[in-house]
Amino acid sequence: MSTGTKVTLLFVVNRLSITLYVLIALLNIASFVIAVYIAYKTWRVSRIIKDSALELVSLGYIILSIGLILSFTAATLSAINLLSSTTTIPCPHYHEGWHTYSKWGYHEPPPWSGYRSYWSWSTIMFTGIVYPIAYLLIFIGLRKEYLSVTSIEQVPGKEEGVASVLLSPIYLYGLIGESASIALLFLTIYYVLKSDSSSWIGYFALMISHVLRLVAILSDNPWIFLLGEIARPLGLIIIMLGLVKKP
Amino acid sequence: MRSGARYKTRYRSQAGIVYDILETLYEEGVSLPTRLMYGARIPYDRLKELLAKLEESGLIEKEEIEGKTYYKLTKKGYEALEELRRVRKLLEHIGIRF
Repeated sequence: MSTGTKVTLLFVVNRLSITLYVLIALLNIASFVIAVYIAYKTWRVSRIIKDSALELVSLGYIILSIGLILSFTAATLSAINLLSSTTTIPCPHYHEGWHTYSKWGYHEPPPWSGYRSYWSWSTIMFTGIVYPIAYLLIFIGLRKEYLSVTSIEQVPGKEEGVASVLLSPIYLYGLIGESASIALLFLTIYYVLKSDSSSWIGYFALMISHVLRLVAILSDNPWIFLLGEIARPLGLIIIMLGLVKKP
Repeated sequence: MRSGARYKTRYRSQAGIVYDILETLYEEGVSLPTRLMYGARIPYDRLKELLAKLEESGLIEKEEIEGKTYYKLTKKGYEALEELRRVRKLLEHIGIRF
């Protein structure tokens, strides 16, 4: 591949990255608003009927909204950084040509490998800890909400190399966080389905998002990670669209 | 009532049961605990706990009529029911079954 082709390719990759980051930022800010709305409404009801389980669900959505705003901030910063780095610069290491600098450069390992420190990516990977905490609270809240009732109903007659990558704490946090998120969302979906509720699709989209993020980390593919970033806010948007369709 | 349904173990949310109690009181005006038991589909001992909790929250109040204890909604109870009606769909969409 000639140097000119490489530069053109990197320019296209740069522009595609910006588009994806802008899309992620927009989806995350939209789902942040939805999460805050859900948190506010559930909190209000929990205070009125003194329901501690609902309080936990509400707290879970508050933490989820914190994660979403962090994702929004990171995506916005990444897009701004990419926009301001459109000039061609030499590679940081030996290379015969020049190319457009990108946040996960043509030759660099993915951002979570710890090869180079990016503030925006540290933020986006930090959400890998925030999300499982949110899902844990939502799951415990839902379980508590139904548990107390289950006992009632059960009354008779009633119804860069592997080594460096593995040593990177961001990588490890990401791996543990994504696995925890998937497991917790799986349990939540199981529990919601068990309670005959049909509202599992939103949680399923959230789970798909974290499956994509985990696959991305395991396969060192930032593009799959970005797809995961798009899928997560879609989960909350699906919940909201369901409400709009069925007034 | 569908036959067989009484023996099925079902999972219902606490918010859903509170909603049923408040809705029954709204329809009946004043209700005996036994009527509320059928309205909310819960056993008497658990109903008593919930009624005490709702009374403590100021959503319902007792009224003695001919030596029997009836329950009725308070102003705060009406407002709570209105709020629950408004957010019911939202709560169902996040997995809280009514």
